[in-house]
Amino acid sequence: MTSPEPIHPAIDDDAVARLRQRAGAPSVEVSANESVAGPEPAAGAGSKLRSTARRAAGPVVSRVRSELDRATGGEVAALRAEVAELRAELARLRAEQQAVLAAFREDRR
Amino acid sequence: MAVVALVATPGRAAEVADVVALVGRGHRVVSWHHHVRPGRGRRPGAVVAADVEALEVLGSSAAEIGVPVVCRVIDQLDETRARSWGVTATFCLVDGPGVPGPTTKDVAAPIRVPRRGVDTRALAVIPLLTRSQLRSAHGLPDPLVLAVDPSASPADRSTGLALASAAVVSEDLVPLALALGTPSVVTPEVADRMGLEDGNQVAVEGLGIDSDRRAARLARDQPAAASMARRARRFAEDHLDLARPVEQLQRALGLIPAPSVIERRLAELSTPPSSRLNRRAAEAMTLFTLEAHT
Repeated sequence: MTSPEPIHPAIDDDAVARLRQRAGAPSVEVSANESVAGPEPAAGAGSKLRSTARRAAGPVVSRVRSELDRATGGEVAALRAEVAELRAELARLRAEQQAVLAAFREDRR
Repeated sequence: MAVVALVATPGRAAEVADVVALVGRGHRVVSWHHHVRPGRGRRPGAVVAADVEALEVLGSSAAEIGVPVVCRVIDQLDETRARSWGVTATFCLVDGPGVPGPTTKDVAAPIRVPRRGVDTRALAVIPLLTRSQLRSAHGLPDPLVLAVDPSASPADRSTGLALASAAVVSEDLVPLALALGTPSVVTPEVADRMGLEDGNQVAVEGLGIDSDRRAARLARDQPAAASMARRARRFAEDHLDLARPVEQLQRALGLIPAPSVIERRLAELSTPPSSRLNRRAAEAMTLFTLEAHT
């Protein structure tokens, strides 16, 4: 899950990973989600049906869980923050490009 | 969105391109001779003149053009000429505190814009204890001494400087390192140019193994590194901050409204821009403004 606000504007997660690689420290891996699979079905009549139903429902349940996580985990806020950052970056780049072009035209007239 | 025109004598515009990009962010930046002059009736919302000679192109005085004009000056003579022409404000590009420029005692002193500055408001300082905690959280070694590669990507450079216990820093990255409060080792030439003192805001050492050793020593001496980091941040706020001069220029050009009473009071009290108080005041002001409009 992405946090809605970065720790600091100067710190980039990917850059931290590269720095960790360069610094040679053991990497910190976030543990993977627990498996959603339930206990092994008991052998016997009807257990085959139950296990088939469980297997069929597994992906749906995991999808619903992940969607709920996304909805409650501030994903929208994170995306909005990202869009705002991209807009600010776009405004910066546009202003820089226009200023350089204007300076070039004034210098070369 | 306003149209900001840049006017210059040939060969003088490139020097102010960075400043114009900052001032004109969120607006449209154009060349005076390419965009405004050829079209009859075209008028920009504001004009930035790269030199005093370029003012003559605009007219005999500010009244003739009728929009706010700011002009770059390099000495007192320029300042006098620009003021007599009627500019709204003047600005000069400075390298550091030790560089002699137009007098600042004058009421109408030019706005001092650092050539290599940073927006300290956007970059909160990262104290050494916080750095240590962040390193631990990210599985990085402690202490972390770096020679920051100036050719690395901007994200790598800023992250390295933000997390390092101490760093050997090249000239381009010194403003960022000082703003982040990174205990830094710089060369004597860089220190001279920027007006930095050895053992005060930075450690000064020649390039090579000496600078690496000095950075390692600095990382081990935490009290010295902490006080150096505090002074470095203060130096960046006082001499390398771009936000304040750019805001002054934008106000002079009418690109942003004059500060409210609350904003002025918060500035008087030196309230950090990133503080919760400032954010709440801004939110409250937005609400009041909305009410006034409805």
